[in-house]
Amino acid sequence: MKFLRMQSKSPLLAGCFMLVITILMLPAAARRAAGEEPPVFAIMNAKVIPVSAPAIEKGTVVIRDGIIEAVGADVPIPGDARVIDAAGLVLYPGLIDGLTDTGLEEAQTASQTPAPSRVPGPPAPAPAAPQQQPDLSPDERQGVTPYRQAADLLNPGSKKIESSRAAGITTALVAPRGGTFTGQCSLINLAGAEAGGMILKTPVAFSISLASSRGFGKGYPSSPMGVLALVRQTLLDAQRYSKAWSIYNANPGARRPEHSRALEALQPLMRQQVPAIFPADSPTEIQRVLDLAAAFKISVILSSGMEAGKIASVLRERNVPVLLSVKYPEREKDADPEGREELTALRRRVEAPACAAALAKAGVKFAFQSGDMANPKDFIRNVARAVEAGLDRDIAVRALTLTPAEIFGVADRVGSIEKNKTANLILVTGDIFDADTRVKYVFVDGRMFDITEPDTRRERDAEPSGPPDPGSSRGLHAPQD
Amino acid sequence: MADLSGRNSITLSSLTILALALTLAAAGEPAYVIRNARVHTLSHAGTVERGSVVVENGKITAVGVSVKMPAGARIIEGKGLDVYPGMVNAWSNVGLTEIPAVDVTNDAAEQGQYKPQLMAFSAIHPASEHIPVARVNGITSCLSVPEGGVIAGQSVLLHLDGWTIDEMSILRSAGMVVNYPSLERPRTRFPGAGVERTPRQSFEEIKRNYENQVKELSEWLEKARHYSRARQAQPATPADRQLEALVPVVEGRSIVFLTADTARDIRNAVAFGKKENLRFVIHGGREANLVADLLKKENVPVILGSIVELPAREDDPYDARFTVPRELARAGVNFALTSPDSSEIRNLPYEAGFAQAYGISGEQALRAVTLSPAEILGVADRLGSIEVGKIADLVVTDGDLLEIRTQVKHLFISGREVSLETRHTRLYEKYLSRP
Amino acid sequence: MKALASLTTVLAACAVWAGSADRGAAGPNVTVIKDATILTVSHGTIAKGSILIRDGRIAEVGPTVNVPAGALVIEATGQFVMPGIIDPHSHLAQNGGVNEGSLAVTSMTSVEDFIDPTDVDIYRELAGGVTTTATLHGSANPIGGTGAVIKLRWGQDAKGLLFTGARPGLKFALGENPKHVRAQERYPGTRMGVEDVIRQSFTEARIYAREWDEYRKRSGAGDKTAMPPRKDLKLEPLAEVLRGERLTFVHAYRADEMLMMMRVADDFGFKVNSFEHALEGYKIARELAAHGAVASTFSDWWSYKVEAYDAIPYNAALMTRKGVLVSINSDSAEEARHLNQEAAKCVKYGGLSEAEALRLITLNPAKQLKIDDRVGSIDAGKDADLVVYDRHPLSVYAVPQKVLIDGQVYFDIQKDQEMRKRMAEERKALEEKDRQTREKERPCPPGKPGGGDAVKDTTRTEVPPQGDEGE
Repeated sequence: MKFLRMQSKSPLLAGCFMLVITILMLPAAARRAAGEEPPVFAIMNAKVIPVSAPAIEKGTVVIRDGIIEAVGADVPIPGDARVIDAAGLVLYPGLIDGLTDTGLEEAQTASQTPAPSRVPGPPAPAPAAPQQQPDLSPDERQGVTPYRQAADLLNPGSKKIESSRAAGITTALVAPRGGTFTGQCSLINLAGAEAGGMILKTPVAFSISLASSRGFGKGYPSSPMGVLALVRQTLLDAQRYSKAWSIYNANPGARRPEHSRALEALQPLMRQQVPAIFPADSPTEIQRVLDLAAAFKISVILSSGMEAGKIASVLRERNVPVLLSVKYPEREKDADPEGREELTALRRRVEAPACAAALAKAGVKFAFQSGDMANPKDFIRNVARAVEAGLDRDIAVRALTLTPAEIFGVADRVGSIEKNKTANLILVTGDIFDADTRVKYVFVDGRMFDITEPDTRRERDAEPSGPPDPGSSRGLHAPQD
Repeated sequence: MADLSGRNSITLSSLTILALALTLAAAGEPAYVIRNARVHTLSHAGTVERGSVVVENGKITAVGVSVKMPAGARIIEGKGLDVYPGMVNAWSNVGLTEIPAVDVTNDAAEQGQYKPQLMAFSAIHPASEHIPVARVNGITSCLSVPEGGVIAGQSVLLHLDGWTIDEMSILRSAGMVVNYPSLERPRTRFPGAGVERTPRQSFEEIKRNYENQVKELSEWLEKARHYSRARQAQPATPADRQLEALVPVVEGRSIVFLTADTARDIRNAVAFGKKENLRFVIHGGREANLVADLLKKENVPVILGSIVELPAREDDPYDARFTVPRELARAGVNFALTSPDSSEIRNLPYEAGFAQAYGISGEQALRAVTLSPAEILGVADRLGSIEVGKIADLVVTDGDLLEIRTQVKHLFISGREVSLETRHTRLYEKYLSRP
Repeated sequence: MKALASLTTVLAACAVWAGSADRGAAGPNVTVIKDATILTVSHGTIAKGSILIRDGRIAEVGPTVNVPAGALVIEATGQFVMPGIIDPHSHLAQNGGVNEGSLAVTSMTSVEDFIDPTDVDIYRELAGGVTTTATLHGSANPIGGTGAVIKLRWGQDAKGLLFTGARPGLKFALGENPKHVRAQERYPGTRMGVEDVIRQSFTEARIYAREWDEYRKRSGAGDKTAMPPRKDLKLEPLAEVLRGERLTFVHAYRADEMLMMMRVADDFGFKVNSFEHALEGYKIARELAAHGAVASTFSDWWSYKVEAYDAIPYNAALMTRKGVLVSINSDSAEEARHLNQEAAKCVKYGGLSEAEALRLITLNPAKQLKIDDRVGSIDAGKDADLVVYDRHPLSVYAVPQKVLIDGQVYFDIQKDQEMRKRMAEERKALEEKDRQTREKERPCPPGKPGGGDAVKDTTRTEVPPQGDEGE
């Protein structure tokens, strides 16, 4: 084979060949995920939406080593920069998804919640002891896993990471699911081969759910009342835990308290160092969450909030931020054509997109979340519907960028196009809320991703669309010597 | 002519013996006269103030201001009292269940979808405690019905008094019960939690199931028609008890109850009944008010379920169920009010009172639990009003029958005065006397 | 324009569904109900009288009252006014599940946290004359959760429904229901086991209370090493029962199980507040009266399960005759709409007087819930919770015309008719808006070829060198 002969003749040349071939042989996904090493970019002639400052009609942004080096109408272009002429395009900060299961979807089945198995068949033998209800320690209680970190469960190869990025989302707050104290949420950038490189901040908040997913016959708690009692008791136990250990540490003669993984993990919550995210939709549910938070003096972020507009003034008063869901209730697809929707359901459905405007009007701080919406494009589309229903466009953009950054305490790093911030950017063909707008390029930590539609590109490894690389696969078949 | 006188004497003595026997039999059941009462006849005679009613041999033999009193009649002073026809409860499960939570006491719902041959008549428990409890508030006859499936079986109309079902039965087979297929999504209610869970079926699926079921039902009727013709032509045709049971239905000799609640289901049931040429009645009729004009046009009577119920939909008016009788009355539809739960049959008059509170007249209310059910069930020649020749089912009260505080003073079923003692009165007496 | 329209709709919807725009703080301070037949329940009937209401309370009641200038006058000639009906046992307005049936003892759960002010049954019961109800945990457990007393102030939020100052309660259940509810394999399975669970729980509660007393003593005396015992949400309410601070509502049918519970109460030094349903109460009226337990029963339900087979409609009357304080309850949103009729049945069955019958649904349940200083009769100083009927409430034909709570009209049969129209209009508007939205939403198929690519190609003016891209 000519190639092998070449190798023996020139080790350096052969080495180059080997390197290039190796690179080209890497699985497309890993190549996609790893991107290339972050070079220097100069994006020119774009309409720049910094969010933290007025729009620049024709501006330039320089990125170096994953950080924004310069932003302006008239910025010098470094000599080593790769120039991207973005005339006709709009440059936004990378969008931030306020709460989602992205990156964890495949991890849900491997839940660490110890679920009791309900084996069908002959009934279990009746317990012998009359004490039918041993009080479970917090570590034994079903659904109490506050120590679970989303960052530890992340799957960098998740399909939804890729599809989110293709929709313009560069950062997401991911939450573990399952149980009551489901765990801790982590803020991740949506690009990377390994979890370590993707994590912006963890933990950002605890995730606590007051919904009961268990039905009858599956153990305690089986009702929302039971779940709330469980949460209360666990938080009380967490308070006592801290007190008991303080007493013990200060008084060697005192009895040593038990150690508890769960209660230990909850201490930052009890000390208000880390907030908790609670889902709630109706004003009654939201008020319930606020009362619980007040009773235990924990800092709360509201999630979902589909009817939060109705209680907006209270949220404003208590300074509670909202991660607003845009998974609007939909009409049943296979509905009875003569069936009549209940008025409250109809009202909820029709008024849902107007909730964001109501929050904005009341001065409530809010970001948007995709939750478990399967298609990230629907997420953006539904935010656009909120704009159509009356939400101020600029506030909407901010709610997808700087506001979540503020809520999560990373506003100095991401959320706007400013010097020294992380180079998370998206180049799109028009206003982000226009239905025809396409995402062209996405930058995550300064690495560029060319977003192409799947049906215009054969899903094969490494088909560069630029001029052929000397070491490209085509070149393999071309005689080189 | 040797034997003529002999024969004559035999005939004479037979006649004498016969007359004696009849007299003795009559003597077993005394005659009654209720006199000087307010008699609500529900007939063209209207309400007779200070009237009297004569009961003999199980029948009403006289009604009016002045009547001829039979010899030896027991007199009931009716001054200040009211006499009404015994109420007819046109739908229930009386005698087919004792304690619903205890499955072995339940006999109304047999397995299977098509059971025309089953007869409620055969399963009635005449000693059910529910029977006396029901009658002492003035309900003297009741329809008892089988449940479940599409064709549930044959109902029975019975008097609420008698040693055996044979004695109690007025119509052994009082009408075929058909649960007409529904286009509504089936709902399950979990008691206590009040949660409604709707199993996920697309409307397409529901429609398909509905059409299949209607087709099947129609085929059963067609088979019965064919069977009837075959039997007539060739008596040796093997018997088929199920088809046999449907023959009176397809020949129009027996009525069919089509259970349907929503407006759409009722419309479909009516169209079906017409297409199949049935003598039919709508049972249930929760939304009958929405199709009242259609029911009037097609002359379809309605046996309503209990109207003292919560509205079905969240945004229905709070009195949506209470006002159905008003709408039917306005449209001129013939309807019966019922108290279907066997343990609550005694509250039948209050169904009528409630309907009156929410829009029908006193006459309409009373009729809806007496003459109308009798008409709908095809026994108005015998029951439902106080008229000469009708069966003496009567209730004597100290006031308005439909009012709650009214007390029943006397009760007659088939011309017999019936004791007002029940399990409840016995327990009451017993514990009243506990020191 | 669109935003304004949708906001207007939202606000209108709130007002419409709330029932009446003029209510609560916005409503009139002074109201007079004039010239009605007043059934005071506490001191007889005033054949033709008036009631002056000020600041939510009954200020005056008598044959004539002073009508201050500016007062809202409700002409009630020919009509009847009685105290608002108090239903001491319901599961109204809950969205927490009614039962936590998984364990035998769930006293840590609370209905009060899950009051659902949007439950339309609140409005329906209001239209039936109910103004206050005790909404309780279900009967799936020997010891269930804590309940709540609420006024049916339709339109207010969850906190706005609470009857402030009502004594807290705890639910117990005896008999068939707590044994193996819903096929769960869980102890207990017999009435013996039910007693066992209750005695065991109170025993633990006693120990718990003692531990806390000891801790408070030690820490009060300055002991720095005193470790607080764990605050146990399950045992707290039980300890409160032992201290007489929390009322017990005990679901029970059979006579023997009620005697058992009274025995337990005697042993642990508290009083059973009320037996709920108590369908065999008439058999042990003497013992109930001696203990001082209220019997809260149905008018005439019977036979639906074995333990209800000896139920008789004379129950309420018989127990009343024998000195038991008796109330009627509904345990059902449907039954609650005609409690006046259920009370009337107790005149028919057992011969209670009209006054005694009305007490079953007003003053007696008020006493049962220990709120009789506030409600339950028409007396000056009490809350203005009133029902105006077109006829005597014990008549089957009586239809509530107006229902007032704290002096505000929360149900008005005329306004109800208007509300229906408004709701129909709202529905039309919403459906139209929905239709318009759906037309606009004509979906673009995802990944549509043609348009997108063309745009892409023409704007790509500079091809990045060396073809290095992210993909």
